[in-house]
Amino acid sequence: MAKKAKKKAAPKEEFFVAMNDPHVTRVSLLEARRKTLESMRVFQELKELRKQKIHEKSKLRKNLKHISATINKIKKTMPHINLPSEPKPKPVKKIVQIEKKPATLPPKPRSELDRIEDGLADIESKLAHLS
Amino acid sequence: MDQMPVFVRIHDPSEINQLVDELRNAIHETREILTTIDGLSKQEAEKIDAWRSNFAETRDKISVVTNTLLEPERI
Repeated sequence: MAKKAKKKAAPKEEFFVAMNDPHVTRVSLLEARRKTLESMRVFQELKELRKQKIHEKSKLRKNLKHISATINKIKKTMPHINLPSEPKPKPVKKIVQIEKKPATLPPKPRSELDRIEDGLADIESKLAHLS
Repeated sequence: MDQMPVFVRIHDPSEINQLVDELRNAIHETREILTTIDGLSKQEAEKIDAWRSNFAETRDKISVVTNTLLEPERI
C-alpha cells in the first residue's frame, strides 16, 4: 500500500541554483561550523565557570555565617555591662497626617535578608546610643 | 558625665584570643573567596564577549551561504 501511495504522489518540482563560486560558499559553511563549535566550547567553559562561582558563593555564605557565629561567641564571652546613658533631648513631635489603610495585609514570611537588616539596625542603634 | 575609661575583667583570655584568631582567619579567607569570585566574574564576562563575537561571525557566514542559495540574483 505504501509503495502504491508513493507511486501516486506527484513528482516534486526540481529547482536548481547556479553557484558562481562554490568554493566561497563551502568555505563560509565550514567557517560557520567552526564558529558554532567554538561557541559550544565557550558555552561549556561558561557552564564550568558558573558551577565554580556557585561553589565559591556557597563557601562565602558558610564563611559569613561562621564570622557571625564567632562574633556572637565573642560577645557572649565578654561580660555584659549596662553603661549609664546621657539623657537626650526629646525630639519635637511633628504632626503628621496618617492615611488610613483600606485593609491589613497578611504578614509576609521573614527572609534571611530581613533578619540581617534587623541585626544591622540593632547594631546601628547600639552604636548611636554609645556615641 | 565625661567619658570615663571602663575596665572589663576577662575571665578566660585564651578563649577570647582563640576566637579573635578564628575571626581573623575567617575574614582573611572571605577576602580570598571574594577575590576568586571577582576573577571568575571577569572570566565569565570575557567568555560572554567571545561568545557574542563568535555568534556575529557565524551569522555573517550563514548569511553568505543563504544569499548564495536563496537569493542568487543578489550576488
